[in-house]
Amino acid sequence: MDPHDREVIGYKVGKNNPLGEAIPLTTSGSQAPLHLDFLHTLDLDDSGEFLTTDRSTYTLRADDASTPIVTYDFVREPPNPYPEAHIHLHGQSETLQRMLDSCGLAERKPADLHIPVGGRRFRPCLEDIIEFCILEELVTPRPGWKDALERGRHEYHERQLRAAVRRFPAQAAEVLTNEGWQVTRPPDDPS
Amino acid sequence: MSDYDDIHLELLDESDVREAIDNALAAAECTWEQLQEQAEAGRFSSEIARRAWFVVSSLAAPTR
Repeated sequence: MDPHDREVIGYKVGKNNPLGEAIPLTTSGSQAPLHLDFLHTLDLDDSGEFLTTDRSTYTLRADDASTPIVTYDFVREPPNPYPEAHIHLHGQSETLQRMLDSCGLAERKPADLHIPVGGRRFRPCLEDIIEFCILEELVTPRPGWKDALERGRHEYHERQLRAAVRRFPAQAAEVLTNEGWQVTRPPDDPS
Repeated sequence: MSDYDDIHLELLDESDVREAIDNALAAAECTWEQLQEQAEAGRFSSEIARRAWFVVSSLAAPTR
């Protein structure tokens, strides 16, 4: 955390190692087949009261802990035209490279593509990535993993839903009214 | 042991932040200007440069 309340969160992240390290995905102490690294940077929201994710990046890496396989990125208000939430697929893909070549983009790699996913509110969370590794039998989970993941994911979905309702109050009110709730427009509502 | 016993919090002052930024740029083997240029293009010179941009762009003021 810095003097402006900005935070960088990751595994073994610190002043001397600001990019952190990848977490070996193993529960047995044996060689991990996959590694996961993540970075979240947080900043105060417009109200100055709540921390909000400014950027996040999750990368699944191979057993050597460095070769990237897939990356999930979120960049609030990115400095380029690409979607805020997107995936990068690493490694070689003859099909994707052929597509780039035939589009006159031979200098680009498949990993340069920003594949859109979910948008700001509905992008995957860290729990989704971990669940993918478990369901695809890439890693062996501990007993109770499902409940632990579900708890974290539920909190995330609830936060995102609250943010979506704040962003689209009229639509939220309409849905609730249709469901039989009584919703009153606040007197200072500008819409 | 609680779920959070292994979380370590490091509080940085302005000079620590500068040092963290310098360390990230050194790992990426790029200047802040180069990282910003790569971010604008949406293509980074390396995987480490991409990660470094995530950290540095959150801590340093843009210069472009």
